[in-house]
Amino acid sequence: MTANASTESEFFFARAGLQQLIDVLRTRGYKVVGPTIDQGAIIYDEIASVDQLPQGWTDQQEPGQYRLERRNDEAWFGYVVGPHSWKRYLFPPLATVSVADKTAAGWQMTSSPDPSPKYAFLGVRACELAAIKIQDRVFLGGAYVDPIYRDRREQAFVIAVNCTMAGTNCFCTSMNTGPRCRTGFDLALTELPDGFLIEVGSDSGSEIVRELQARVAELAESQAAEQARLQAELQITKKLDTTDIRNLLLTNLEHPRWADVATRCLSCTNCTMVCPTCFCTSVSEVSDLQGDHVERHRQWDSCFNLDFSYMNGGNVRNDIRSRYRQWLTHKLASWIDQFGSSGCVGCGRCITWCPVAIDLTVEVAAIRGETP
Amino acid sequence: MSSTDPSLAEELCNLQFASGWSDGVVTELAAISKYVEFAAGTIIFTQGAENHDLFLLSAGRVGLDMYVPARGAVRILTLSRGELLAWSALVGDGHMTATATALEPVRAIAIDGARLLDLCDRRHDIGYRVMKRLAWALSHRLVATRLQLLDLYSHTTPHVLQSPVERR
Amino acid sequence: MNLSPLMTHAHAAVADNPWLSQTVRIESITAEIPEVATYELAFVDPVLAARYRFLPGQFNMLYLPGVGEVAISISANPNSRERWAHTIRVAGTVTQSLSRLQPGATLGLRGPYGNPWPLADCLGKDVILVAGGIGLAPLRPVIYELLANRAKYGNVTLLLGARTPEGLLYPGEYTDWQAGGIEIESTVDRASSEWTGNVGVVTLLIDRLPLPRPDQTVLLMCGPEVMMHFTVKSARKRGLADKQIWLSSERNMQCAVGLCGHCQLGPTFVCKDGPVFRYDHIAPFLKVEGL
Ligand SMILES: Cc1cc2nc3c(=O)[nH]c(=O)nc-3n(C[C@H](O)[C@H](O)[C@H](O)COP(=O)(O)OP(=O)(O)OC[C@H]3O[C@@H](n4cnc5c(N)ncnc54)[C@H](O)[C@@H]3O)c2cc1C
Ligand code: SF4
Ligand code: SF4
Repeated sequence: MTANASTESEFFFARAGLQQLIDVLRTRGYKVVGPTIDQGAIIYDEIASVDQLPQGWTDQQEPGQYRLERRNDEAWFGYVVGPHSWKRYLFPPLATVSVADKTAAGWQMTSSPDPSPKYAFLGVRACELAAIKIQDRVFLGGAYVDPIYRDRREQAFVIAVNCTMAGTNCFCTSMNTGPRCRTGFDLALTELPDGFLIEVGSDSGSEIVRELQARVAELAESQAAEQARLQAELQITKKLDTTDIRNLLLTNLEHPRWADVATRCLSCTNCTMVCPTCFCTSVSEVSDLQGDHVERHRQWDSCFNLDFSYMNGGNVRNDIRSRYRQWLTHKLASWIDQFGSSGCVGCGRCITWCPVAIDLTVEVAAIRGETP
Repeated sequence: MSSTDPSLAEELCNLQFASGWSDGVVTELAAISKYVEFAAGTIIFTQGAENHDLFLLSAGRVGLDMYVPARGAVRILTLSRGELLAWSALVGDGHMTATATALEPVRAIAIDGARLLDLCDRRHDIGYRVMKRLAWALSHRLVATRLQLLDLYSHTTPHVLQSPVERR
Repeated sequence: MNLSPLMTHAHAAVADNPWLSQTVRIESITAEIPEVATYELAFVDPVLAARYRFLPGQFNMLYLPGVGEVAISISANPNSRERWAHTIRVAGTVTQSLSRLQPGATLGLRGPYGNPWPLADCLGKDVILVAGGIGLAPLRPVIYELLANRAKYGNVTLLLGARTPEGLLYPGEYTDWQAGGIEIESTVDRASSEWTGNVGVVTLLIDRLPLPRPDQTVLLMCGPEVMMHFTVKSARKRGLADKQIWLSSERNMQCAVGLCGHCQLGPTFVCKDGPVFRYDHIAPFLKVEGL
């Protein structure tokens, strides 16, 4: 389903309409997840009220830095992206993939008992829509489908919110993923000083709009929204040159830059945890005291962990050099072979949350021979 | 030797040792070589003994053993057609580093080490070819020995390979 | 719902849960060489049992609840029905626990997974199988297939490498295999002087092999990566091109279906793009240390 960007399908509702939207979704049984402030960062959590939104706050980001600051207005969505991404809800950090019970007839295995919550995501950015599309391809696009992701994904209602500002670490324009939300949403909002412009992206989206006190948008409102979105685009300064990037990286597996970045990287896994597309997991056994009831727990893992590549007797990627190389070449190069697109959407999270300010765009430029 | 056996010169080429060399050179080499045969079980030479021939195996397998006190003979390698035996006759001091046993009826070309060295000294073009052949054979043997040393099929990883301190 | 078109398609294609194991029972256990035993398994559910098929080179995930899950190649005749064999070496946690089980015990199984050996490419060709240690296990189904349709293939040679003579796998079957028209050469790394077989690395066997038509020869190998690396070198010297060489590879595996990320080797997932690869497809990545 693609969003029809023509003005006919654009609606407008006043600021009070946002609470109404949350209420409508909750009445329909959705758990509404949206941005909220926790421990000095804007994260995604279940919300019931607009009061929980980070109204009047923005995020100031630099490589290795994240700080909340007051805005000089009362915008609800006046920030870019924080340490969370929606993968936390579609692809939970911890899930039970199967259960085994010892019976008289031996071990019996059953599917995950975990419930599949029905989520409505409020405030999904363009780069995050792209990230969801990438994870769709990983978990649903191959011969084997991940049932946990599928069940959550099928039920999810996606409300995108266009960026009206950009962060220092954003480079969605290089990755062709933003800042404009174009597809992959049920509704897309653009925040204006006195309300929201709404685009409808699906039938269930228009059903919800019908329940709101929304009216067809006026030309001036559409233009103001376009202006606001343009402002975000103009603020983006970071670039990643993706020209022939797959071959660039895969033919430079012995480039000295890998050893260089290894002297800085702590192998802390932060970048993989915050990345909205990273999908590596490990499975562990959790049994009751008798050992007759066993659950298989799947947990987010990271290629930066030493034992990630463990094979009886040793680890394949024994040094940080090979682990950083694995991460970057997977994300920006092998991903193209595997899933038909880059694994990076240009959200900048890995740059912001790296404790030592490693910036993948700089690393790629160095391998390209453009060290600043 | 039956009449269908290839001539020494032919066999030196068949065995790759002298393949591609000019007829003249091969003839000179054949002149200092002879066929030798060993019945299965024959000890061709023993570790530490003097031996002055370089052998090029033409048929049959030879086992190379090294004697380890209190452990007995340990088989290091077996050699087959086309492979060189007793290279220390040429580049060592003539004392053999291992014991060679014919595991099957063995036929070989024995090249007189002293005369070969003399030929190499007189004719550096031949010397270069012979030494190149020898170097190739020895480097090949070295790689094979390293692989054996790695103990690839061992169930426990040798500690030397796995540093307890993570490399950065 | 705004699902990408991919999603509905994939959903229709496979509705099963790839994480779910089925119950199998150990029918028999045969001790092979030290630390290695062959387990015959069968599904408890007769419907699954009747349906189960695999191709030579594929593997299963064997699951011991509470202990863990391991990838194990299928070592049985591909025509076997109802039950099939896995040859397993005691390595660590899971394989150790497995070795303590008795016939009749149950465990979980998912599979078969992975790409098979290229038997169609071997038709009419000379075939060299190179196996190091337990690496013979994934090649055994190929041997059974070659024996069953021996006339369809040219010369077949099996080159075996092991640490010691006692480490040569399935010794009881060699006579049958030879009688069926497979040439066998073996070599070991260590032996006493009583051993009359070969001593030395398996690559030396390739150097010595009569290779009447190298361009019509296919080489399939499985063993330690270093062994395979040097096998390729020897095979190249004998005139085989990289595209005539196939190998079965190994990486940590948690899901076996391309969802967990562990088994990546360059752009490939060993579980679903392998474990059997054509050498030229994987060579640029296999040779890079720590990839
Ligand atoms: C495609 C494939 C086919 C295989 N076929 C066979 C076979 O036929 N016979 C056989 O004996 N072995 C086979 N192996 C190797 C076997 O999977 C490992 O020996 C086994 O996983 C070790 O598990 P463990 O719990 O006993 O050892 P531990 O050292 O305790 O390992 C802990 C866990 O790490 C993972 N792991 C460790 N080693 C490996 C490894 N080499 N490969 C993948 N995951 C690993 C497993 O999840 C394992 O449970 C195969 C591996 C792969 C990838
Ligand atoms: S690699 Fe970094 S910039 Fe790219 S999507 Fe992941 S977190 Fe965002
Ligand atoms: S790149 Fe940065 S965030 Fe990623 S593992 Fe290294 S130190 Fe941690």
